[in-house]
Amino acid sequence: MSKSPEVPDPTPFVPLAPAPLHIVLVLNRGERHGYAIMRDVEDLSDGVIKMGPGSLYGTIKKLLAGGLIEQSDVRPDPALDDERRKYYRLTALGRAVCVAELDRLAKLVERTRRAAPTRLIAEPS
Amino acid sequence: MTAPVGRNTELRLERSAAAYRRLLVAYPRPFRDEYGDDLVQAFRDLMMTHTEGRGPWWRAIRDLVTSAPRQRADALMGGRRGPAGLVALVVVGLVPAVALIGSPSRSILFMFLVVIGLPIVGINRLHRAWLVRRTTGGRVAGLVVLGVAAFSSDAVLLVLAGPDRGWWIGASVALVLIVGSGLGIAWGIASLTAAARSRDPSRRRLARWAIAAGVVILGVIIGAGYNSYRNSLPPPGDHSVAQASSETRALWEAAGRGDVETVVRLAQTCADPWVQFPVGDGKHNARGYADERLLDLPDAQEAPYAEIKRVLAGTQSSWARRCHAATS
Repeated sequence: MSKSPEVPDPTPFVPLAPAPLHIVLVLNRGERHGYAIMRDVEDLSDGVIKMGPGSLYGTIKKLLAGGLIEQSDVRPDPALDDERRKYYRLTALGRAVCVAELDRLAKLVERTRRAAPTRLIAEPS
Repeated sequence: MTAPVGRNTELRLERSAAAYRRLLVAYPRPFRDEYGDDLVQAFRDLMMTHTEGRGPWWRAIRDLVTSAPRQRADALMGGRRGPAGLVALVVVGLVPAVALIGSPSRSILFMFLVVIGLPIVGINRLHRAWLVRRTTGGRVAGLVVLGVAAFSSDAVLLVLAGPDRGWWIGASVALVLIVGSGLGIAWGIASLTAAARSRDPSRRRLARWAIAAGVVILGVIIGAGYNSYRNSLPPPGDHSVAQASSETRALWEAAGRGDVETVVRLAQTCADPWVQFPVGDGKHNARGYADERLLDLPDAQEAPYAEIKRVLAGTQSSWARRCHAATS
């Protein structure tokens, strides 16, 4: 039952810090430019994570270096957008890390729900 | 009416973007070169989306203050993460913090500047000079001259920061040494950790010995600093006698007995010049005897010091002669 060589190993990247996790989750929906990532991260986290330009590109730099995301060559319609913008997308490794991290968090929630004597986490209605 | 408003908004946007671009100097150059335009673009988008109030600026400044030091630290540590980077950051952050604590920490700061600051700033400069030599093919003699110049300039800085200089000279020199020491320590730790991970076993061994020696030296400095801090505690009433060192207790007891000669002798021989003891109505430290402020006291407070001045006049130390000259 060895893993297929095409599937990158996400283990060294898990767990992800909140900011990179949210960026990866946003890019899992599709390609985005810097500001769109910033805005969507804020929406996705209900305003809990508000990134500024510096922290956004600092995290993007690390995700690029780790090979979790890459710059996209696909340009949107130039009439609709500034062509100087850089777009980013998830790599296969990034997607694997995203899945692994969500799986880890889901297991954590599940175990906490089962094991906690007090109700730390509300049961789904 | 729409067009002028649009032009004003655009002008405000351009000005804000230009101002934000200037602030990007807080980030290290490679980061700026790679992402500077993207940062400004994101800031412009932020401004365009939030056109009212100072929200975008507040968010951008807050972000700059938190992310720029992180990028600087990453650049300083060559992108490496781990305990060495953390230790370097703690040390770099600790030094200015110690400087800000207040007078009890002056001895620690002074010792840090002299014991650590001077060699590290010098070694750091030597290393830079070595890099210059390696890249430009310069001569070793030039390297030696650079090294001597580096150590000499540091020595001049310390002399300039002597106790009789203005506070601003002391503060400027302290700032230079603190920054230099911080960078030097960070550079040293980064180099040593890189060497400790080297594939060359002899280099790895050497780095580990150097790290061990560094830890021991740091321990000695912290211990000596703590001892110095204990010596600088104020007299009983403010703190317990048990907290003070034997040297400090002896001074206090002599001052309490009114034994001025013993006070003066202990003040002259005590290891820590900042040690405090009560004289008359006030508290003074050993170095305070050489301070002109002592000689400018109102007449009502002059009496307790008359005997001290008489004893000082009989000693041969330079500061005592100055005291005597100033009072005679």
